[in-house]
Parts: sequence; C-alpha cells; structure tokens
Amino acid sequence: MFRRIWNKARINRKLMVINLLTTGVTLLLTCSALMVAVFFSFRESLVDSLSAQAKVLAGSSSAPLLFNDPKQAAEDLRALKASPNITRAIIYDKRGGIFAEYLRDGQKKDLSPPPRVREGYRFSADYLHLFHGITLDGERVGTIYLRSDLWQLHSLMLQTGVIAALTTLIVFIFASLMLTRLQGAITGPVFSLVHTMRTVSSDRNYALRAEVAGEDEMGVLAKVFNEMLEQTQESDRKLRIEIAERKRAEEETRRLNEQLELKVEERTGQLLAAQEELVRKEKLATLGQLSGSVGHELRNPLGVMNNALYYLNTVMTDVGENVKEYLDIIGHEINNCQRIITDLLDFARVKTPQSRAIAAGELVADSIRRCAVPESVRLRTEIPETLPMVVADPAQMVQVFENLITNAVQAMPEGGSLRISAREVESEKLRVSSSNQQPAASAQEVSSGKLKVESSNMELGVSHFDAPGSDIQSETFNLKPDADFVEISVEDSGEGISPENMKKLFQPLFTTKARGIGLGLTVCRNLTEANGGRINVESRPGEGTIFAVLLPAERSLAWEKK
Amino acid sequence: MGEKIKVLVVDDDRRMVKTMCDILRVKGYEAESAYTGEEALEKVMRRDQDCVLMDIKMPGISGIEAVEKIRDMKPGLPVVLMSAYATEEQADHARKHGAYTVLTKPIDVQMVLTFLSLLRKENSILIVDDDPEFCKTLKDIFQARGYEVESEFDPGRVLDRLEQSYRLVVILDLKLGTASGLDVLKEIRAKYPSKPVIMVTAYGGEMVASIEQGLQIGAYTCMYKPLEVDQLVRVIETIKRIKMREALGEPNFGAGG
Repeated sequence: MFRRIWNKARINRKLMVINLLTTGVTLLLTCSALMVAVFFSFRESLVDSLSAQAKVLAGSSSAPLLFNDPKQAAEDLRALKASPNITRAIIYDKRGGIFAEYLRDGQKKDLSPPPRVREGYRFSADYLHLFHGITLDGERVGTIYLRSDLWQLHSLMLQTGVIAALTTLIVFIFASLMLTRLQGAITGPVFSLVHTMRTVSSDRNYALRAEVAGEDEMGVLAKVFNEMLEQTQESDRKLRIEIAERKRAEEETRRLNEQLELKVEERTGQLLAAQEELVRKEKLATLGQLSGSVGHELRNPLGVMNNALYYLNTVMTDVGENVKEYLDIIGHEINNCQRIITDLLDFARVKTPQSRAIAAGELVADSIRRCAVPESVRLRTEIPETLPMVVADPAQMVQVFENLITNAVQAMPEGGSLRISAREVESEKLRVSSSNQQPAASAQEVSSGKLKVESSNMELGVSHFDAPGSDIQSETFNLKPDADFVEISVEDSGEGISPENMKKLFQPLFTTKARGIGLGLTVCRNLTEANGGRINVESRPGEGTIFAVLLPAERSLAWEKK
Repeated sequence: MGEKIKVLVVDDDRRMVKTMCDILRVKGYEAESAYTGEEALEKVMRRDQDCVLMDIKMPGISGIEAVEKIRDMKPGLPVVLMSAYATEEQADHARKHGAYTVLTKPIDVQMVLTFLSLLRKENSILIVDDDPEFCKTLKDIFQARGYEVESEFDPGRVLDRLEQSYRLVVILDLKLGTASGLDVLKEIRAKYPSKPVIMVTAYGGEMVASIEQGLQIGAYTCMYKPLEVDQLVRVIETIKRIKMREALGEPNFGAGG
C-alpha cells in the first residue's frame, strides 16, 4: 500500500517527504536529548538544594535532640515553610523513632507511615526522598528526613516539551516553504526533461532538445539525452531514407511484378492463341484430308445420279408436270450437294488460278445465271461499260460471286433488294489507306462517298459516313501492290450481320445457316486472295450487308508488261 | 454425216459407264464400254474410236497411264478424262500427255455432248490459193487424214464460202494472182475475228512486210512453200485441239483470238 503510493507519487512530493522526515527525526532526537539533560541536571540541583537544607536542619536539630526538646525541633522544622516544595519533614531520634514532624500546609495529614531510616536519597513517582544523619561531636544522634515534591521538575519538563514541539512545528513550516521554493531547482530540470522526453516519444520529433540547466547530474542527464537524441535523429534520418529507399524499391519491385504479370499474361495469351491456332490448323489439315476423300467418294455417285437424271430428262419428254417437278428437285439437290463438295474441296486446297482478262459484267452475268434469284428479290446490276477488264480466274471468281449472291438471297427470306455494282478503285487510294494502317476504313470512305454520289437511296453508305465508329468491318489482305482495282459489290437489304458474327465471318466452319457447313465465305476469301484481290465486308444489323470484292484490273497488268 | 460417232466410255464404276453410254446412245452416238484401263487400250486397238471418255482413278493402269499409251497408239484420238477429284499436277500431267482435258464429276453432260458434236465439225479446212496443183495435193493429204477439205481460188468468194459452212481453219496464200491475200485476211478478220488463218507464201523475202502485217492483224501463223506437210498437220491439229478444249471449258491463251 505504502509502496504503491510511494511509487506513484511525484518526485517533488517524495523530496518533500524525505526532507520533512529527516528534519523531524533530527529535531526529535535533539529535543529528546535536551529534555533528558534538563531532567537530570534539574534533579541533581534538586537533590543538592534539599541536601543543603537537610544539613542546615541537621545542625539546628542536634541541640533539641540532645536536650530532648521536640517542640524546639518542631519549631525549627516549621521554618521549612519558606521552601514550598518540601511537603514533609521528619526528625528521627537515635533509635529511629519519630522525634518531630513537619507537614506542609494544605497537605492532608499524611497517613502514610514515615519511611524507614536509611541514608541517601531516592526518587519515587512523585517525590524526592532524602535522609541525612544528625551528628554531634562525631556521634550520631538522629536522622532527618525531607520529602520534596517534583512539581517543579514536571513543569519544567512540560515547558521544555512545549517549546520543542513549537520549535518543531515552526521548523517544519519553514522547511516546507523553503523546500517548495527551492526544490524547483532540482525538479524543474527533471520535469522539463521528462516533458521533452514525452514530447519526443509521442511526436517522434527527434529534432527537439532538452534544456541543459547547469553542470550537475541533471545537466549531464539532459546533455546525454540530447546526445542520444542526436544519435536517434541521425539514425532516424538514415532509417527514414532507408525506408524511403525500401519503399521505392518495393514500388519498383511491385511495378516490375505488374509488368511481369502483364507480360506473362500476354505471353500466356500468345501461347494459348498459338496453341489454338495449332489445334485449328491440325483440325483444318484433318478436315482437308477428310474433305478430299469424302468429296471423292461422293462425287462418283453424284456423277451417276446426274447422268441418270440427264438420261431421264432426255428420254421422258412427255411426262406429267409432277414428274418433271420431281426431276427438277433431284437436279437441284444434286447441284446443292455438288456445291457443298466443291466448297469442301476448294477449302481443302485452292487451285492455282488460271487468270485471264475478263469483263466484270461477264463475271457477274455468269454468276447470276448460276443462281436462282427468287422473284421477291429485286435484282439490280450497275456495272459501267467503261470499266477496265479484271484479271482473274473466271471459274473461281464466278464461284465466289455465286456464293455471295446465294448468301445475299438467303439473307432476305422475305425478299428485298439485291444490288450488284462495280466501280474502279485507284491503287493510290488503297496504298494511302494501307499506309494509314486502316485500309478498310479509307477504302470504305471512298466507297461511301461514291455511293452517296451515285444514288440517293444508299442510306447504308451514307450512314456509314455519319457514324464511322459503328462501322463493322472485316477484310482480307493479299493485294498486289501498285495495281488498279475493280471493286464488285454485292449488296443486300437483309437482316445484316451481328458484330460478334462479323469477327468469325471468314472462319472455317462458321455458319448461321441451318444447312451448310460454313466454308462458303472461307473459300470465297481464299479464292479471291489467290486471285490477287480481297474481300471487304460491312454490315449494319437490320439494314443489310455489302460484300465488296476487289480484283486487279487489266490496265495494271498492261502496265506491268510495259 | 453417215457413220455414227463412236465413243468409248471407260470407268470402273459400272453405273457410271451405263448411264453415260445410255445418254450417248439416246443422243445418237455409238457408245462402247470398258471397265479398266487395260480393257480400254484393247478396245482402242481393235476398233477405231472417235473419242474416249475415261476415268482417271481405276484399278490396274490409271486413266493417265492409259492416255499416254493411247497417244502412242492413236496420236489423233481425242481423250477426255474424268475424275472425282484430280490434283492439278495430275491434270497438268494428263494434258501434257495428250488428254484434251480433265472433267470433274459430276460431269456436265451437255458440255460433253457439245464437244462430241464438234468432233466431226472441226474437221473442215478451206484452202484459198490460185494454184490448183497446190490445192489438190493439200486436199489429198488432209482428206487422207480424215479432214474435210474445200478449196477456193477466187478471193471474192471466200466470205461466201465461210458463210455457207463452218470451217475450222483457213489456209490462205498471200499472193492470189492480182489480188492480195492480205486484203482477204482483213475481210475474214472483220467478219470472223476468231477464225484461225494460216498464211502460206512462196516469196518469203518479198512478202516480209505483208507477213508482218498479217500476223499483226491476227493471222495464226505463216508458212513457206514448199510446205512441210507434217508441220502444217501439227498446226491444224493444235488449232483443232484448242477449239475442242474450248468446248470443254478449258482456258486457252494465245488461241489466235
């Protein structure tokens, strides 16, 4: 309990307690010594004065004793009235019997028996008892007894005690005041140091310095603390720099990690793409082989069927309408099968084009002839006579346009308009656009502009111009450099192609049709590219699609020859 | 035309042979069938055929091997190959070794019939020369080779002749008495721009300018008298071949437009 309070107490209180305790103990010891000294010296002087009176009385009493005159003796004793402290006096005779007695006034008749004679003095609790022999001519004739009370001694002791207490009190007060005043010199620096330490500790401000007051231990402490602060500040500064560096390093590491992650992601993506590509190529190679053998195996029976049908058509000239229709159906389906097989085989292997100059109009006319365009579809061809011839394999290109026209017709099951147009495209414009790395966009702008000029109802082209951001384009590259081109466009007013399908448009095996294996456009692209051209597609879902086939013009071929 | 055109159909697929033969017979041809390359060779050896339609892929010797052998046996016999899926190398090889073309199955029957109808038609030659001796000898030579030959010495009647009946080729002397063969050539080219004309002349040195002009306006070639008959036959065979192949949809370059 005490220890806890002590431990908790502030240093100035501790100092105060220690000081007061020290002062108190000192004073107590001093006063005690003083009082003991006073006590004994006063008692001695008491004994001395009593002895002196006893001597005097003994001298005067010897005669009455000798003369056996107790009255005289009593008279002599009465003289003791002058000494107020003597309360009882007795003169004993030779035998020890009481010869005369004196009792101080006011004292009750002392009923206590007179003490037995003995030599010397002794103290009791309240009195000093003194016996003195009475001699006459060297012969002992009696004894005198004096009893003094100790009132004087007691009052003196009381006085001394009160003075000591008062002195102690005053000294305490003075000491407290002085300590309060003076202890600041010691506690001040301590408190200041403590405050500084607390501030440094709480604020982590190592730039602070403690106040150094004097050269004493506190001063040394403050100085040492300041030195420590100095060192701490220095190490703190280093630490901060190090931390900053570490942070920077960490940041750098993090950044590098991020880059690494990105790179890893990218590489993983590439790897995956490469793998996919590999798998795709493998699949396609297998597909190619399969296509070859399937095509081969199917073409033979198809050939027989075709021959048989031809024979029947030739022989059965006067059959009913129904039979004729059935024969037509068979013929139509044989053609369908043939087209699928041709696509398959063309996809598996593109033949080297047997190119020659041919008019775009002728190509388109041949292609249309091979297609069954229903009456619900309005077909318009806009091919200027002045166009240069194109250089291409007619069979291959007819196959391409047949495919595109068939697709266009199929995109308009409810009917619509099919527009086949051709125009010249200067190689300059293509070159410029490819240097911009946006060949399709620029080529499309050219095309859009032309469409706008040519025909007022070509909203498709115009809207492309207005909202180039919404353009959906897909293209193929393999243009002959420095060539003028003829662009033949097949444009339908069908449902259009959604953006996600647009991306996959030229992928093999992609189809949205219920029937078909999804090789038509792949083959178209392959064939067109083999002929030194390319196919551009633009589509607006709900408005229609334009497939634009660019083929090298003959003019460029003539230039090449020159 | 008298005798029916004889066509040999060769395929290991019997139904193919049957349907093809049936069509040909209905269309007035004489069709014979063979089911292997060996059988085909045997039938070609035994009987004169006007044309052979043959599959490439057959057990035993293939159609291509058979073509090579047929060319050795009967150099002028037109052979048309058929295939479900011939590679380009195969097709090129076959053409180089004498096949007219390689048709892809299913075969365009109409195209084959057109081709066959040309077999006899593309056999006629018109000789324009004012030298009756020259006309006679040439006529004999070509008729012996199965060609139908007519001659004309009057430059003014050449166009009439061409109008009267189809001619595969015109053999034109550049010096027709007082008239110039070049003028006749110009007339022919004006009316029949793609008609092959072979110029002949005995005066190579003098006629250089005319020859050059003639070639420039589209004469097929020019030959010098005395004629190397074999060379002339080869040229005419080539022209015929080109014509026939055109009928089969084969692209031709330098066909003499």
